[in-house]
Amino acid sequence: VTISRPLAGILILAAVIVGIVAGSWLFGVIAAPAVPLG
Amino acid sequence: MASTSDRAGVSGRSLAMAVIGYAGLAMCITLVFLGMRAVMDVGGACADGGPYVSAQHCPEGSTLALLGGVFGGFGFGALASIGGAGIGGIWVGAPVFAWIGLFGSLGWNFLDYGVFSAPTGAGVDGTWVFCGLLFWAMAAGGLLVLVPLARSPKFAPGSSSTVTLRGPGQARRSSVVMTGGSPVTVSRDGHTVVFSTTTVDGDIPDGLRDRLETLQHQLATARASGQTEASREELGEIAADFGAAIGAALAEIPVAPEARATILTAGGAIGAPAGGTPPGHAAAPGVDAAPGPTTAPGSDGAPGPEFTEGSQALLDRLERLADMRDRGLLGPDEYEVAKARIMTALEGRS
Repeated sequence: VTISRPLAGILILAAVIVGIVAGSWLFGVIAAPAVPLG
Repeated sequence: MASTSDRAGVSGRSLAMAVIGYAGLAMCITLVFLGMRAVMDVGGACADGGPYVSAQHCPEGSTLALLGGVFGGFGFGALASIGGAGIGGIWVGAPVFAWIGLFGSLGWNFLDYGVFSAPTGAGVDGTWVFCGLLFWAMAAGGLLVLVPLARSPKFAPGSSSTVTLRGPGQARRSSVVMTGGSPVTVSRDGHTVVFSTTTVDGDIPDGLRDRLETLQHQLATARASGQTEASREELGEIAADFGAAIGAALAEIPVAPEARATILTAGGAIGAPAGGTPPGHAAAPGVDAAPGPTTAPGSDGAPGPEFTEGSQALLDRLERLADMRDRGLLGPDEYEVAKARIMTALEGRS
């Protein structure tokens, strides 16, 4: 299977956006709201 | 030159690795970014565990996010690097992208908490501003690496092609580094002519290498221009020139005469023609089918039977072309062009 380079670039950029969204979601899952000092 | 236009693309495997790697890298950097903000929300320092009483516990999940993000980033970064190397161009720079993304985002955190989100009445926190500017300077340093990386012909898409010539049981004899190529493999009887995407320095004279690079670039450009009648003709001519240059390369490197003969015939008589035939009629693998004896310049001058282009040899080549087409080494259009030339040559002999 071969994919054109421009399409490959678009797919990678889309993957980066998906990764950022996934990271935000994952942090929301594992982290609780911060408790400030004092 | 046996190739189809889609072979100039990206392999699915490389793309899959790059997509997963870059996505994972972005996810890990996001985790570190958010984990750091969580820690800065509690004053910028925290501690958990150990025999001491912590003045400030770490926000729940921040330790996991930071550690997971850092170590996961290494793994996904490696994956993105491997996949990106298969794609070429700017995508080989996954570690540089990660560097810029990490230090850029963390630098923003310092600046945000030091200036924009500083506690009410606390004023600007000079220490954090300094850290933020320092991190941004480090991110900018990554840009200084990325820009030349993107412009480097060594990493240009489709570049770094290599011609490798081997005989049976022989180690690689030599290779030619070219740009703008796409992977093509022509193989027969253990003798191999390989156009791969691996960069290997060869001992081909610079002048010849430059010519091969130019021809390869022209070939790639002609391929990219589509399959119109004019471009097919242009493709054939360039491929023929390319074949002549490969023949010259063969003459320059120490390949055994037997291997040389087999390489020339296996590749569709790659090489400059003898006997006063114009150089443009030298054949490239499967594209040109110029009749008449061919040999590599600088060979012993006594063409063996492999160089004789009788009607049977032309028929053999026709069969070989069909085989290359069936194996996907030759596009349908390229096959038709090559077949038409062989038929013309055959008619000229009858």
